[in-house]
Amino acid sequence: MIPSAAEPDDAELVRRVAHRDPVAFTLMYDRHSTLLYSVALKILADPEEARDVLQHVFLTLHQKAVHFNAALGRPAAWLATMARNRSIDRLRALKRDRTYAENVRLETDPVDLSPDAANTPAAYSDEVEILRGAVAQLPSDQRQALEMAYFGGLTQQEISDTLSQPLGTVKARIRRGLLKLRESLDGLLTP
Amino acid sequence: MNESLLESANLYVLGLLTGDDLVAFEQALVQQPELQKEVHALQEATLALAGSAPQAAPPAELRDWLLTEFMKAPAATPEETSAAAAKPAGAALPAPPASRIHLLHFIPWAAAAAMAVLFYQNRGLITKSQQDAHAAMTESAALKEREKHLMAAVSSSELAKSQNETDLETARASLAKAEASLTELGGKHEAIAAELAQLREDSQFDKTRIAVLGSLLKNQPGAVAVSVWRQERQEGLLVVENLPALPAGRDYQLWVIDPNLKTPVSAGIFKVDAAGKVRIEFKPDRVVQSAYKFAVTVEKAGGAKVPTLDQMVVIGG
Repeated sequence: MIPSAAEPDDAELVRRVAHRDPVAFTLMYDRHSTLLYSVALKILADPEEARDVLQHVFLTLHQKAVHFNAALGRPAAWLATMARNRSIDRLRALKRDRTYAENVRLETDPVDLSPDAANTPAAYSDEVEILRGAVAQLPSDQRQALEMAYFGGLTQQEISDTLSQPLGTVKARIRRGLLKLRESLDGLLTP
Repeated sequence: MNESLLESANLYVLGLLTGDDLVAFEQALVQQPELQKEVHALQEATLALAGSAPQAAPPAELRDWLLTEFMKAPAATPEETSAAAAKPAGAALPAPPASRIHLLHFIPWAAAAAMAVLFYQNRGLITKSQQDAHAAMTESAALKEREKHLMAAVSSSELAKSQNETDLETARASLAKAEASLTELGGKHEAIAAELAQLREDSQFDKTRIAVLGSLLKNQPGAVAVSVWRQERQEGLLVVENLPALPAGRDYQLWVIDPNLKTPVSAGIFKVDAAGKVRIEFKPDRVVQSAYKFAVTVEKAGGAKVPTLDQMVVIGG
């Protein structure tokens, strides 16, 4: 049987991208493009717009890898934040007349936990499963508030209005939800 | 850390801070390492939310497009790398600085790779020329300094005049030689610069073909190779990563698939190092009219005349 060669972690790959290593850039794309595209697609509900977001994220990785500081967080979190924020910006800029319910499933819809990992390498598909598991463990009211903020770009006040819940309740749900996610993921993800 | 900042951190990672609140928070973020840690931990939490989105594969062509764009870009300078490393923790990501004026930093990756293949001797000349130029400039500066001192000595000491004049003549002769050497080296640099300009132009007109070869190995999905092919020169460069090391008696063999030919054309055999990497220059065994795809197979040591298709490990085009 042919032995496996160890793969470098994301921080190492970003360092190599900074030195214009095309293999490192390709590996980063293969690891993270599915997750980042999925985030953009869920927010924008438009494959073309989602494609543009993914393109923007990887061009930014290309341009800013040299400035990435691994001490400030993991590359995956950096890229996901970039994809999410860019998508929300696009959503707002497009001024589409779509309600949150049209763009993002509410908590009454089941979270899609299908194993369709497309071309994502196996190790990173496992990581996505860990992430999904953490979200699935959240109480439904906390998950709903977090998804409305994260995927819908709604403010706490807007969430409060949409759900007809007091603002303080919404703030507490978001705070507790993030805390629980932190605790669920502590030590589970690769560096 | 107060409750207000923690509340703001929650909103910040969800992109819900705006206006003055956002500015104030980011100022605090730069100044407070503890707050930075909090934000990074919260960003991990939002990564979980990202992972909960239904998985969808991006358009297949985007990968190759991005890689092509990546390879067109100039290389990062050592100054950029060290400047970034020296940045204080917590500083926001700045816009990338403009590239420095340095010949080699303006070479696109593909052109640089092609140059490595096609102008290996000239690449050596660049390095040697730069070393020679540096040595000649150093010698020139030293000799000029020495001449100045000798002139001062001549003025101040008639007794030493004879010896100093001899030294002065020797120094002036060395100076002239060094300056002639500099002129010659400058000419060589101009020729190389012109060649590089041509390579860049070729790349822009797609005479250089870049292909990503994806893994077919179930046990090694991260195997990948990048081929840089110059059609007119019939030569290329292959960079491989994460291919498993082979047992004795086996070699990897690179193939160029040309739809105009009945069988793939061998472009040489290679092995990978313990880390699964190799970087080889290749030239197909016969003229390729159209390099439609590139593939790598595992063959018996020394290679095969035709590829063993069920032993293909990476392919792409």
